[in-house]
Amino acid sequence: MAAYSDVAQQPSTAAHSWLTRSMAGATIGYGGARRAVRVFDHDPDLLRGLEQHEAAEALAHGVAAVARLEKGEWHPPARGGGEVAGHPGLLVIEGQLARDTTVALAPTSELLGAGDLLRPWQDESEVASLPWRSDWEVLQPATLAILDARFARAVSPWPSIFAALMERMTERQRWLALQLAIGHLRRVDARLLVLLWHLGDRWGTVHADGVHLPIRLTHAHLARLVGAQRPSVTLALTQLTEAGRLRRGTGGTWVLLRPAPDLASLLRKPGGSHRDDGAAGD
Amino acid sequence: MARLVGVTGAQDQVRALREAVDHSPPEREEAEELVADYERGRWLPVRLELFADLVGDEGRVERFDSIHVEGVWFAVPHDANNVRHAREAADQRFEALQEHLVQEGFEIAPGQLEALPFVLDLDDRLSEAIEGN
Repeated sequence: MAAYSDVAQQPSTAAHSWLTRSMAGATIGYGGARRAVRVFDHDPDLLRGLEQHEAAEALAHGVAAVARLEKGEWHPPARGGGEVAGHPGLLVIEGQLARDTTVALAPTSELLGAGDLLRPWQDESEVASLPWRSDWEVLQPATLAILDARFARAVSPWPSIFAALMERMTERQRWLALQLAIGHLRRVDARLLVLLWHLGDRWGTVHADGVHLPIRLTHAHLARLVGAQRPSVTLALTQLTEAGRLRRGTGGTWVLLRPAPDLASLLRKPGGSHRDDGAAGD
Repeated sequence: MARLVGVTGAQDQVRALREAVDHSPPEREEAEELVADYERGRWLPVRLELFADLVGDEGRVERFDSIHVEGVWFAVPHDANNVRHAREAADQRFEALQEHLVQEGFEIAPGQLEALPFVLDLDDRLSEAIEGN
């Protein structure tokens, strides 16, 4: 739940203009005009490395307006240009979004959630030699902190915050590279297992029985994430559940059952079955 | 080395979709849409039978087809995504087929079956059903 400051905080006029245009035609509730959050209350990791007194000061100055996105398609205008110059981006406080990239009817997807930094106005597809497109979808209602130019100036005394934000962008790149690698695994069940454990590392919580993953995705979306056909994902999830790799938690969440899969056992081992890592058989 | 047969196991597969009540809301909605599409004739549950034709010691070709895969769904009308799905479903079970062939006395190394050409053979009843006529 967002915590709101006592001081009304509006985004800069330029950011407000861009955001207003991005909300047009979408199921969006933009409540930013009167609401703000202390960003580092929700994402204290961004203050990593600061001394306590510095962190306290950054916490007080790091106030940003919020935008609330409801489930559905989101069409942020590309190329914000001067409107968003100097704006670090939109920080996901809570919720789940997907950015789908499609080339010649072949879609893939990137899953985004709490802690991810978005720059939706940055869209290289418009200048590509071969056509491709990207689309945004809000999978679970999301709250975004608007890190605009004013926010950047307010926290400029603490450069480590910008380093932390750059680290977040680098993480996104590395996770996409991992997703590419996952897509090269031959078996769909292996792709799903590696993907889900990776998502567990990002957003899961560790319990005695395994990692609880509060991700609610359709099988079609999982298919886009691992580069498979939707019915193959349904089949593989059934097989993984029957093999004791996964189970359903409360509220439709996933529980990744321990032990974590041995990667070698997910691939072919000479003379061995892929089940010889101790998991239940067929 | 795979054959898709008729319309078998349909009710079990449809029941599995309907019983997705403990799944997350997005999955429940998706399952409901799939059941509705099935009832409109847009999806067809099929069974995949993996087989391998091998030359035995006496020089005769023998077919081994003991591995079945339930839970395969084909879109109607038939398209390239169905073939991709069949291959992905088959990939899940090639190792079981390889192990079966080894037990039958054939020297088949892990991964060797996957490297062979994948041929999809639709039985007549299924061929007619998925053309969407």
